[in-house]
Amino acid sequence: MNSSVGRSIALIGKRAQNERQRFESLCAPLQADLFGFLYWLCRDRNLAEDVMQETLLRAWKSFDALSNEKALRPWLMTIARRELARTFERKRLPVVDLDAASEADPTSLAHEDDHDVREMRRAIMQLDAVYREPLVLQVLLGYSSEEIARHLGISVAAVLTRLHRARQALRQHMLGTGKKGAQR
Amino acid sequence: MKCQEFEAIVGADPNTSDANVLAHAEACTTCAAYLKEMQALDRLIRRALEVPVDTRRTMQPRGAARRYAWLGRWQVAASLIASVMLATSIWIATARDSLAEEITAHVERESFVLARHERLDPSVVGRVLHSSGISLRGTAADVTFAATCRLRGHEVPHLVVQTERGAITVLVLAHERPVDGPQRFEENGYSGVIVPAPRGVLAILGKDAPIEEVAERLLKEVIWL
Repeated sequence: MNSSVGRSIALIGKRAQNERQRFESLCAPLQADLFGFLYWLCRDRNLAEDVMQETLLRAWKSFDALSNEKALRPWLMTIARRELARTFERKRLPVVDLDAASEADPTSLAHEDDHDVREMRRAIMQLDAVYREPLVLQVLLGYSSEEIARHLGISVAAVLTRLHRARQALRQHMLGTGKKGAQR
Repeated sequence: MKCQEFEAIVGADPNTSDANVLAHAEACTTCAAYLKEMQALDRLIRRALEVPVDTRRTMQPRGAARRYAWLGRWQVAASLIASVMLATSIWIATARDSLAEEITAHVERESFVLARHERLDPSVVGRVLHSSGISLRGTAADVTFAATCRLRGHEVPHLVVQTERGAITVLVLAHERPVDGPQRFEENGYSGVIVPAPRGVLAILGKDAPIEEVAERLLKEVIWL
């Protein structure tokens, strides 16, 4: 009987290990996207790192609920979005100082540090989250309008409007005309 | 299509492959210029959005996370997540699947370049390739687009070659882990092949296009400097 229990435990252990390896192998390629998404949502590297950890922990806890591996990416992004919202609620975080956020960790963003890129980052930082989030989903993560609509729970038409306004605001910023329609 | 409608669509997605939009751009020089401007703006947005991730920091409990260190489950999860980077060799197959997906997604995002038919000056192609330590033996036959794009954290040459059976995209992925032999993939209507190269891999993909033929020709023509 003891050997039977031992075999069962070994089987359970093996299964857990396999599951863990599956989780690791699925999540590893998505780290950069996940971090980029969180960073541009909260505009704070340290906070993005913390929330990314929480997101992966929460994802691991409910990994059984993921029936389709192809849905992992949107699933993780949804968890990340909720986790960030929870963090903001829980901590009552102070409003991010945009100038400080841009300058705080220059090395972290300096891989292509020409003037236009820096200026564009500044413009994106100033975009209202309502416009910034769909833009990040589309440009950085390659989401279609339909996927963004599902992710945000809004219509495709609303997504297209937000994307259009976001780009217009960024264009105006880069042209230096200072029209602030989509900026905070 | 009216110019206003064109502006709205392009403003929401400058890399749209909508046939009506592309046809309008062919017919209207003002809108064509607007399209180019928005595409350039999008490339800049993309560069600005790319944030390097320090996996050693994001994968280890620290700061706020330490407050939850008493949670055994957290420790288990943190340690398993931390091991992700150490266990990269375990997920070669998955990573390769992911590479195919990312390549295809990139090509789709920049699908507007597939519609170009004007052959590029070989010196332009040469410049793009040279920056990545590559040159072509022959003339840059039928290359209609050449640029350096950011993919999976690296600058990679992105070429489009026009053939009688359609456009073929070539990505020179010198930083990717080598493969033992050609790996074919099908993704979102694209057929592709990832082939070993002296440095990294080449990815060649297209829709109903002679990818194998182009891959073979390219491997003969590429010189790794």
